[in-house]
Amino acid sequence: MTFRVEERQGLTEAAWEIGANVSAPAADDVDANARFPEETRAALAQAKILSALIPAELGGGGASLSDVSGAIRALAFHCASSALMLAMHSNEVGQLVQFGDTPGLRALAGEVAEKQLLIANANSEVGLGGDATRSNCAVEEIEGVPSLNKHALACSYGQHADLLSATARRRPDAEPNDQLVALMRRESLVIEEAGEWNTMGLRGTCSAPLRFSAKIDPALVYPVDFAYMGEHGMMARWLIMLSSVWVGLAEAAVDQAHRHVRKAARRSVGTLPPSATRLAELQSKLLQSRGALAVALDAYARAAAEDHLDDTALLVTVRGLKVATSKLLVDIASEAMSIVGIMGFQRGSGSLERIVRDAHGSVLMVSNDRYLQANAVALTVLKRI
Amino acid sequence: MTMEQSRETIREVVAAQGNLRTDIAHLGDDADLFDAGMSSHASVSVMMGLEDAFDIEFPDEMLKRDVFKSVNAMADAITSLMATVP
Repeated sequence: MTFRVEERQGLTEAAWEIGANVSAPAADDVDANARFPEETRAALAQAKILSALIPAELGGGGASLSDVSGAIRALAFHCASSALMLAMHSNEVGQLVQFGDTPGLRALAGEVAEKQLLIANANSEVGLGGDATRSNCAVEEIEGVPSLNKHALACSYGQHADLLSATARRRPDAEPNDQLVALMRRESLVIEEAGEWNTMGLRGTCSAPLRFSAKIDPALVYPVDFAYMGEHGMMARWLIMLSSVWVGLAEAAVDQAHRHVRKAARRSVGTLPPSATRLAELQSKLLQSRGALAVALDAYARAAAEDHLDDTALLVTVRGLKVATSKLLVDIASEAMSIVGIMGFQRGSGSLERIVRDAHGSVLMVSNDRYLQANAVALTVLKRI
Repeated sequence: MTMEQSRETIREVVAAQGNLRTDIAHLGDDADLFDAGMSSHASVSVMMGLEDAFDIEFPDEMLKRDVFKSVNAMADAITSLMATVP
């Protein structure tokens, strides 16, 4: 109940190998200790997957969003935290490729490919309740040097990244939504963990609150503002990659239920075990999840080909995708557990426990309500759904 | 309706729905309203207000940030829409 072998090609196959051989063996330890999946990061770097979205002329893999979505999904099958790292990093890389049209940012994209640098983002901020479209902090001149002090609400693997991307108000007198995006090198940052990340699931993302300060290098500031990037492709890519994690994790849950049913069927040849029908139901839910992802990938590819990544209908589609895949995941994981029975309720290696806990994070790790509200507003003016 | 009247109506809609931090009277026709504090949510209310005020419907392909970023951008969009209405 996973990818058919013929689907696992190229980047997906490479990520699958890493997932199976590197991420899966470490996943329980990553989860138990809420530690960063360092070994997966190293393997992704070695396979040059961290630069998959960078064009070949800049030294990257020249992959499509669909390719990277497949890789994220394959990794999520083995370790959701590792897959989220790849999704979040790839979102930053996609942003750099699409909007980093300055000599400084072009050079940085080349450097990311060459050195396989990992990028984290610190867009959320304490006091704004998870709303990344506004900032309180602002870039200020300190002794003539543009500087930023920020208290990020959650910064996934911020302590482990080579580069940090963050939003801030452009100037101390700018409006909260007049946000620039700056990239900061690890060595230019003073970072202090400002809280702990002790969650039920998705523990390896290490998304603790952080306080940091840095001097801003004007060459590493995007030439367009955050809202513009969000509405011109970045948000669509992000929600597709995030949803790819939820689809891959749902596939892992169904895989366990499938194995259990096959074993039960072998024990009672000639009599179909009752759990087989539950599995058939589960397959139809997984199909909804996979189908939603395929529809969104297709909508993105069409919008990209027509140079219409700012299409409101695309944004509505990808927000709906995130809500659908996360809600389906919670259902699928719970139902997989009921199929596996009391064995699935066991803790420890090979159980469904981690998947069930991780699944619940999917509806919260960027709240579905935020996306539903945005779609509720957009649908009042959109003419076609 | 003249262009000047259109701009005046647009300004009234933005004043009512745009949730700007700055009085629109202090902003020029080319001023970036998003930079002046208009959120994406507020821009949707502005779209609805304009549809109502001008009795038009923005087709989906016009529901973009650039179309609503300034008084002039909205005036251009409305002019092009009204020109196509039979």
